[in-house]
Amino acid sequence: MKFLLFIPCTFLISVFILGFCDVAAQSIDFYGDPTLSYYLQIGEEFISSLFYTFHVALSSSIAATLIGICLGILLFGSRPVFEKLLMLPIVVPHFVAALLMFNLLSNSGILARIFGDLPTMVFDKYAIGAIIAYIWKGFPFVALLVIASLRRFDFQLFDASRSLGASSLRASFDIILPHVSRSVITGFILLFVFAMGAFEIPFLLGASSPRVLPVMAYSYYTGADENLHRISMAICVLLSIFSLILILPMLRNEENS
Amino acid sequence: MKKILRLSLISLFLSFIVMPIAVMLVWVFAVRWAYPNLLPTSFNFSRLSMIISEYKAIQNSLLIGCISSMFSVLSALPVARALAFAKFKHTKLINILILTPVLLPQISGAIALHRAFLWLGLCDTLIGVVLAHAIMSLPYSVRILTDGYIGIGMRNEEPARDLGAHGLTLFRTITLPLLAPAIFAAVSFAFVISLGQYLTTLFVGGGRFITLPLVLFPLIQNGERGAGAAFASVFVLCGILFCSLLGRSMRHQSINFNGNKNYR
Repeated sequence: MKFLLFIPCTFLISVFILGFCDVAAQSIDFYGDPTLSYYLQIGEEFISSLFYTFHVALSSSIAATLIGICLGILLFGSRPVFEKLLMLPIVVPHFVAALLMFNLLSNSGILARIFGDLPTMVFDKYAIGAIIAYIWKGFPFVALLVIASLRRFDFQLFDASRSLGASSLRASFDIILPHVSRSVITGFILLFVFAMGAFEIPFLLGASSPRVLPVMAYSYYTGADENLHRISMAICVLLSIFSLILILPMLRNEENS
Repeated sequence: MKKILRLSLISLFLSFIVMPIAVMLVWVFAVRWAYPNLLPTSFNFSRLSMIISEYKAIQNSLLIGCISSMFSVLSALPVARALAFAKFKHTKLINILILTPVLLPQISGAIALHRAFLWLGLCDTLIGVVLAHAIMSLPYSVRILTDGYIGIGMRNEEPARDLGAHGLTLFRTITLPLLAPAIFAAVSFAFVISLGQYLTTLFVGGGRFITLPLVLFPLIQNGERGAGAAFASVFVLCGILFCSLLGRSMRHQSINFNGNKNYR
């Protein structure tokens, strides 16, 4: 009887998972003539796209994590209004973040008006605008994780090490940082995996060539050619496998803590 | 000295958050702001009427947001309770399955939803879009509610159960008042997630349902800064509303969590 209550949730999640199974099946043309050819057709653009995607995701995640750790430690114990401010970039959608960075960083943006000549940061091959947009969205998230982690920390350990002679800096590194590192690594992996698969920011701010893998999948999927649809699903499957490989071990670790 | 350093670093980081938003808000009212001027040369409120002229999109966004967030939370409540209190072997697996919309890449999720809803025959329908949004917000609802349930613990229910209350009565009189902050947080967060959905609405709705993101996205693509700023500010205002309402309840929640954590 009680199982009835679980039906809506089960329905929703099954729809999603079955949808993904369909994507995987279509990518190998399971219902027609099963073949791996669509994976092979992804072609040379795939390699340059993969590196571009990697570059955007890795740079932005590392930078966001480092800035987030600093800010989290700095803001720990201060007034609640700062935490509320930190939640704002998390709650704002990605395309809004893209617009914000466009206003700031484009050739006729605010920074260009203040500082004169700046290198191209939008639609460029280093994707600086996209990276900064991801950083803007990402560092408050890491900062909040750090603050939450510090709340669970027993500061008596810190005082104990200080009383045994460790300097403030030394104690921070040896005692606080390892405790915080678990949340930080979780945050980093989440940011990285999200950036690898996300579409909105690179579509709006990134270059059109090379383009990020999710953007490539999007353009193929929204075209008219059926073949391209299957190729885009193949890209999706690859991206999904990549994300799962990175996230699942982290989830297992988290449960064991 | 150390305090000054700390304050200046904090201001530096926080201004990185705030400054782009401030610039965008100026763009809402700026009618002529050509390069290389640092301030607009003419201001007026004409963009506000632009926002109001898209009332259909705002209506759609609000409607879909409300329905999908409530459906998401209602679906999540039983599952969250089970994950918080039930002792059975496969909680980890269930957790991972529920997290699937967050674990899979955004583009994969959107295409998967499109395929699934095509099969269900729910594409281009309002129900389809609402369900799709509910799916995307479900992991967050479940997580927030699970933390909420763990925070209140079972000890408040047991005396009531001994006295004969169960089921809906138990939920309504004991659990609901205690869980209210978590429920409020979950509904608000699910609403915010639904508000920001672009690909999902585009694919599942087939372009039939125009929501705020679908209005804003082409504006950004075309570099329409002023109009884009006008609609983007709606999102920012909703975000500010969310943060100011919820900052407090999340803090209370963490205090509860620490207090009741060890009692099951």
